[in-house]
Amino acid sequence: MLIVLRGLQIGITGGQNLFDIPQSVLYLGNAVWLGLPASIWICGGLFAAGILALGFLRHGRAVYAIGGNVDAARAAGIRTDRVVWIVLMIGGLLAALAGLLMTGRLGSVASAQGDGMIFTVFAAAVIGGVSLDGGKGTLFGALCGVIVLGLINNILTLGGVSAQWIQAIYGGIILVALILARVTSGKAQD
Amino acid sequence: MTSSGAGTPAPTTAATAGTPLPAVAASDITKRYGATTALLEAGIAVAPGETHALVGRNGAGKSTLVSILTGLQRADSGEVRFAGEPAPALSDRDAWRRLVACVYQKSTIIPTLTVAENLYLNRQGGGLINWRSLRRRASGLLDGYGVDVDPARVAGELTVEQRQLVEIARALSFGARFIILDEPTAQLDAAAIERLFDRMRQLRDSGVTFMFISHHLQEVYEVCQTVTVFRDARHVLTAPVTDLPHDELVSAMTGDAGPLLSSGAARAPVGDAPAVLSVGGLRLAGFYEDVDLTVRAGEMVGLIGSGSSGKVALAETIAGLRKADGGTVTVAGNRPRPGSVPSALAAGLGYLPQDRHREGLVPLLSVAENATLPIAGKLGPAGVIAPARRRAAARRMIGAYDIKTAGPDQPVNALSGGNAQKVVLARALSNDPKALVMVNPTAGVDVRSKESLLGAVASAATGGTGVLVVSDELDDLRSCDRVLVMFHGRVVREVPRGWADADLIAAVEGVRAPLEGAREQ
Repeated sequence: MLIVLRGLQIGITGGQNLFDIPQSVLYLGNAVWLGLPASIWICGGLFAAGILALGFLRHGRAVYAIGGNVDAARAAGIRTDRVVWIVLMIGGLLAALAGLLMTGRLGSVASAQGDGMIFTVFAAAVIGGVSLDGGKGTLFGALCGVIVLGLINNILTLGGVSAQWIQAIYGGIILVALILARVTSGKAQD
Repeated sequence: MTSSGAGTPAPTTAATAGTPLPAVAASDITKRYGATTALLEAGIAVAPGETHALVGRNGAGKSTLVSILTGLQRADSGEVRFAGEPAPALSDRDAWRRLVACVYQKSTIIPTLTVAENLYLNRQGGGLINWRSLRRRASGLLDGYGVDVDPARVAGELTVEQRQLVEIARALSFGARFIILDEPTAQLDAAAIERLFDRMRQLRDSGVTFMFISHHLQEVYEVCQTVTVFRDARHVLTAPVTDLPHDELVSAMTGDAGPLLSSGAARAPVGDAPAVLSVGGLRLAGFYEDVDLTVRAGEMVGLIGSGSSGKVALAETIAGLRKADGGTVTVAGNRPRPGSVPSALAAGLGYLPQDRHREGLVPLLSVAENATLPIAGKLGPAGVIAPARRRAAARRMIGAYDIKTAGPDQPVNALSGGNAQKVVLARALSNDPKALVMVNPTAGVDVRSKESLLGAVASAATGGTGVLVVSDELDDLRSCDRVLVMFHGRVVREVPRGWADADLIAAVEGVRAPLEGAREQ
C-alpha cells in the first residue's frame, strides 16, 4: 500500500517538484498566529486532544484494551474491528494534515516528500515508550520521542556534521537509545 | 448424522413440573467445525444455586459448550435458555454478560491496563473518565467480595490467583448470577485452590450458581453437588455427586468402547537394551519439575497427563523447542545442546510435533519436499538437492508408510489429515532416529490411518528405535511397554502394559485411589 501511494505521488507529479501551489493550500503551513507558526498551534492542539481522548474517553481506552488483548476486549463488548478501522482512518487523516503543513512550510511539493519518514515515526514512538506489541505507551511519550529526535537532528545540523554522514549518525543514535531503553528497563522494548 | 434437534422449540432437558426452572438449560446443542463434530445433541441443565461440575476428557466438547453458553459462538442447532427465557442475540454482549459470566482458562484480563480499568472496561461511564472515582468504585467492588488487590496496580503484575479473583469480581459486578469456571485450579497451588473453594461456597450460599469445569475429579467431589459427564461430543450422564462413586464417574468418562487395536504384544520385551533417551532431573518453571525418564532401544513408552500436566512442554524440551531451567537430556549417549533443534536432530532424535499444521508441515510444498526436509543434505553433493533422488526417496516413504497421495509432487495441504500425519511421521523417521518423540500422533486422524500410523511406529520400535508417545488417546498408548502418568508437572505413576482404561484415567485425573498393578515412582 505504501509503495502504491508512493508511486501514485510520483505518477501524479510526473516525478517533478511542484512549485505552483495555490495560496489556500499553503496557508496553514506558513501562517503565523499570535507570534508562533500556525503549525505549532495545530500540533499542540491535536496532541492535547489526543492525550485527552486516549486517556479519558471510553473509546480511547478501548484502543489500549485492543492492543493489550484483543480477545478480552471483544469479550468486554468492544467492537474491535470498528475501533481498529477508525484508528487507521484517523491516522491517515493526520498524516494527510502533516503533509499539508509541510507543503505550506516548504512552499512546494517534492516528488520524494515524506520518503522514509515512517522509520523515523516508528523510532520516535518506540523511544517515547510506545510498545509496537500494543496496549502500552502514551501520546505524551510519543511527543517526547518526536521532540528528542527533532533535537538530535537539529543538533547534528548545527554541529556541522557533514550532510553525507548525518543519516548514519542519526540512525546510530536511535539504535543506541533503543539498546539503552532495553538495558535500563530490563526487558525488550518492543 | 442428522441433527434432529434443529428448530425444536421445547427444551427436552427443561425442568419437570414442580421443580424450579433451571438457571440455565441447553438442549439438543449441535456444533460442527468443518468435518469435526464438537457437540452432538448435547445438553445440560443447571439448577439455581447449585455448583454443577462438567467433566469429560480432552475433546469431549466442554470448551465448545462453554463458548455457546457464554454467547461467544452460535450453536448449529439447539437452544439455550436462562431461567426459562430464550438466550439473547449473539450481538447483544451486554445482555449476555448480565446473565452469565465466565472465568476462562485463557485470561480475559488486559495485562497492560490497571486492575480498576480492567474491571470497568468499556463501561467507564460517558464523557471524560474520572480516574479517581473509577479507582474508588473498583476498590469498593473488590472490598465487597473480599479481594485484597490494589486497583491501581497493573493487571499483568497480579498472580494467577489474584487475576482469577478479579475476573470473578468483574463477572459478579455485571449482575450475573451464573458463573462458569473453566479449569480454574489448573495453575493454582493447593492453598490457593482451598481459598478459591471457600470463596465459591460463600458465593453459593448467597445464591450464585456455578458451573465448574475441572480435570481433577477430587475437586468435583469437594465442591460440587451435581456432575454432568460429556464424552465424544455427547452428553453421557448427569447425577448428584453423592450418588456417583469414583469408579462410575471415571467409567462414564472413558466409556466402555473396546480397544481399537491389537496391543502389539508380538514385540519382544526389551530387557536390558541400552537407553537411547534419558531425561534426568529436568525442570522448567511453570510446566514441570524433576522429571526423570528412560526409554530403551526398541521400547515404547507412553506419557499421559491432562492438559495442564506439562507433558507437551516436556516433549518440546526433549526436541529442543524449549530450553529447560535445569537437568539433562541424553539422546543415544549424546547430550544435545539445550534449546537447539538441529543439535537434537543430529544426536539422533526424531520429533513428531503436536500440531502438524503449525509445526509439522509446509503446506504448499510437495509431499516429497516435506518428507525429505531433514535429509535434504543426503540427497546430493554440497547442498544441492537432486530432484530425481528426492523423488525416489519420497516414493520409498509413500510406499513404506502407505501414504495415499497422487504422487510425490502433490502439495501436502491437499492430503487428508491422516495422510498428512503420515508424511510428518515419515519425515520424523527419515533420519533413522535412535529415539522418536511423538505428541498426540493420531489427533484428527481417521481410524484406518490411525492403525497404519501406529503400526509404522511399532515397526520402527521393533527396528530398535526407542519411542516416547505423548498422548491423551488411550489407543495410542495401548502398544506401549509402559505408560508414565504426569500430574501437575511431575511423573506420578508408572503403569506396565495391560492397564485398565479406568485405572489410567483415574490416575490422569488425579483421583488418589491406589492403582492396582501400578507402583509409585
